[in-house]
Amino acid sequence: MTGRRLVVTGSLAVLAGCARPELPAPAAVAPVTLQVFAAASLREVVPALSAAYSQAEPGVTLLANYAGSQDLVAQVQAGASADVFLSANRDHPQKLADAGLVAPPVVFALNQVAIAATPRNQRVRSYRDLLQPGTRLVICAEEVPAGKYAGQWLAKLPSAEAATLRERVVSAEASVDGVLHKVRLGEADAGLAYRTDVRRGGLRDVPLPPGTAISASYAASTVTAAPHAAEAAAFLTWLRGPAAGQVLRDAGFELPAP
Amino acid sequence: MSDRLFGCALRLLAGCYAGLVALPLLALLLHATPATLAAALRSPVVWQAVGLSLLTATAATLLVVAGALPLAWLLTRQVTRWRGLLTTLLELPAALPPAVAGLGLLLAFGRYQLLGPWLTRCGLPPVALTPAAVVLAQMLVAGPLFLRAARAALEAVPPRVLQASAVLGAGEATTFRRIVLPLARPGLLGGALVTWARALGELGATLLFAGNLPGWTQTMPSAIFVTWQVDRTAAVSLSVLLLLLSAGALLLARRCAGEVL
Amino acid sequence: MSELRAHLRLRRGAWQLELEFALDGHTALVGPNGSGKTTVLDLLTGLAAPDQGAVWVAGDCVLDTARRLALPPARRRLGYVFQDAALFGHLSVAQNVGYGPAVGHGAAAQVDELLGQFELTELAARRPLELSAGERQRVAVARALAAEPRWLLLDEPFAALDVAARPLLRARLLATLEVRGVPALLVTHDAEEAFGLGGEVLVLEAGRLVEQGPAERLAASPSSAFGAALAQSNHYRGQVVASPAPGQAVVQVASLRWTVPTPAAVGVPLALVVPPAEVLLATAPPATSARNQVVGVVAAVQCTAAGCRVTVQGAVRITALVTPAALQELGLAVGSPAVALFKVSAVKIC
Repeated sequence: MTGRRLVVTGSLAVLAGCARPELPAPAAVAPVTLQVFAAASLREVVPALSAAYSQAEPGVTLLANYAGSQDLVAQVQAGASADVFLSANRDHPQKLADAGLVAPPVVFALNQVAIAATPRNQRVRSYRDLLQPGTRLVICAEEVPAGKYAGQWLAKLPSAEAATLRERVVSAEASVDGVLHKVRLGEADAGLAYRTDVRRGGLRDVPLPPGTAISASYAASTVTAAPHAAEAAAFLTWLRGPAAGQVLRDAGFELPAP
Repeated sequence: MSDRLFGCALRLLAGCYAGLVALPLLALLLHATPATLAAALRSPVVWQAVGLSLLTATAATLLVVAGALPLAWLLTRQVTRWRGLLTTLLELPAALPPAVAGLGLLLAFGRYQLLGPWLTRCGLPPVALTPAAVVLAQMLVAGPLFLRAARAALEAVPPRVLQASAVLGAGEATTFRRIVLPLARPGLLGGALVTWARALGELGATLLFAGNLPGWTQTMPSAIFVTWQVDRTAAVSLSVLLLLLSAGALLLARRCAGEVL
Repeated sequence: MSELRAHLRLRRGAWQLELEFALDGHTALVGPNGSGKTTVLDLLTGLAAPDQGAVWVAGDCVLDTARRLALPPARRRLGYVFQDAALFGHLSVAQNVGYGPAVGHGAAAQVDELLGQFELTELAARRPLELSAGERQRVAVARALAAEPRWLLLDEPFAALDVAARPLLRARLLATLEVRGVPALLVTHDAEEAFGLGGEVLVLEAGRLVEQGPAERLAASPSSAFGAALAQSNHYRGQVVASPAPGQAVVQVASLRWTVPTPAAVGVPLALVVPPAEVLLATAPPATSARNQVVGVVAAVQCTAAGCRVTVQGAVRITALVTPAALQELGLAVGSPAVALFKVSAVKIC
């Protein structure tokens, strides 16, 4: 968000160029805007990362484009101008790396599948409540990474319970945002999302049954045709460093073992 | 000379625009072979989406006709100061982004929103995330098309003809059934077909309000939207199918309108 | 014949309509455009509502604002033929005529008879779009009569027809009305057409009735607006006594016999108009091809920039419009014997 606002302000200044009073001289290095294609579930943390990075590298601004990871893959395939690709899984960037479109992906953060219960009613207090008749559960469609993780989680449950849960599903949303939206409004009693989403507030975290944790990896890669390849590589190095790690942990992510 | 230039410019711009419209349609058709189409039709997910779409779009169109036809008739006959404002309001949903329409539906019919608690008290199941929600979303977005067509068709019936019927001894109901409906029929049918085509293509409001579950609320457009990166063949087949259905409806609508001319 | 009685008041901005009448037979409502003629018909049939007023049809009160009574148009049993016919475009000619019986007014059995009377039998299966203006108007009249109205109101029904076709349709209409005993209220802006209907005349000007009475009496009064309108031309009423050739009839007018261009059969009453410009003058009966003449003496001479109007009084009065030079050559003055002549083709049937 911050990145976008900076760019907008900049272009307004250019538009107003003629009447512009003298501005302080820019830093020695020409300012660079990095195009970051980020998975929708990173929407909350990327602005924080951007703010932290602008302190480390004052000349570089992040401009984020959020979408479902599968959409971002399609955009990169279509030749969209991007520097960095932050995906909600490893498979998607790996597919692009195989095609030579991005550098091999590196996992920079981990997330957990979580059950988010609506604050509108107390119907779902525990995992058991999900199995009750009449419970309305939303998940992501299996085409979406979060939907794949949901499938993996269901596979870890006793098959009878998994079948019951599948019957409780009232919608398979096209993005995690759709799941969260419907749970927040109370149209669904609970939804399967990421731990970071549940932490974001407004939702109740329902513990998963023991032994069914599913970890989701976020992978970063530089785009082969990046307009700012050097800056992109520098950002990725910083992303795996302690400063970025702190920001990610604050947002509820876990860090991969070094 | 300048006329020739004008002619050239006219053809050039017209050609560019027509190409722009035709190219994506052509690309879709080129992408789908009869074999893939047949294969897609055998897939239960596609089949379910087609069935649900046809069912909900038809239901939505019938419900729209049932409500918007009387409304159009009242608007045509009642000359009130509020008619302009009312008409604008009723046609607004067609101009809104469908997502806004979907959000509005959620906030109106949602379990914990305006009408929801009252519906629950009446013992009714929740509306959102059900096939009924699909129909409601389609009605809201496509309904204004019918309302507009119906008003045009009804207003085209000359007042003197209605009066002739009245003087000859027909009451309002009889005049409506024997004179108004037959005279406005081509316009009404055309409007209903256009409405049906729009309902068939509805996506934004449906995703927000009705969600997406194969066999339950997944329409053809939702299925295309969700599957296109993973299973492009299925998505393209569905798209072509949707294209053919809509084209058929629009062609029929044109034929209906042609009857009036 | 049934009576049609009404008093009506209506205000639309600066325009006001206020009138009262009681009719018991064919009546023409004449007046210039904008005088409110059509509005009167709309108020009588209930297609419009007056601010104040009452209407009785054959003794039944169908509207009385004082008693908050207003029967809907469907229950007033008044026939209304609109200026533009207003046929039902999706129905055939037969279905149009049969509409009243189909919705419960009139007997279905008489539809065929009416189709025959208005020469529509062969057009029965056609749609209104396939008809000429005259045919459409015939359908409109037949349709109105099929619903068995107590009165037939007609709004300039012949305006869309060419001049030659009007007398025929009118004769057919009058004959049918006679048989069915239905009186007509005919709205027209044409004084001659009103004269042709032969009954009472109501003259409407700016929403008020300025004159009311039998056509003859009003026509004879030069101070009457209707009389003044008619005075522009010569008007006669007569009856067909012979039909010497197809398209021609001999009409008895007073003691005179004139040949006029009409296919009307023997016995049909006719109203004739002879424009003064078509009338020639002579001092003695000449040898001429003109079939029609009036022998008498000059009763009046009135010269204006447009020419001299010479009125000859014989068995009937007739006015000729001639140039001052012609008048001088003939040496005509008030009191001198004169003959007025006109050709068959000069006579208009109204």
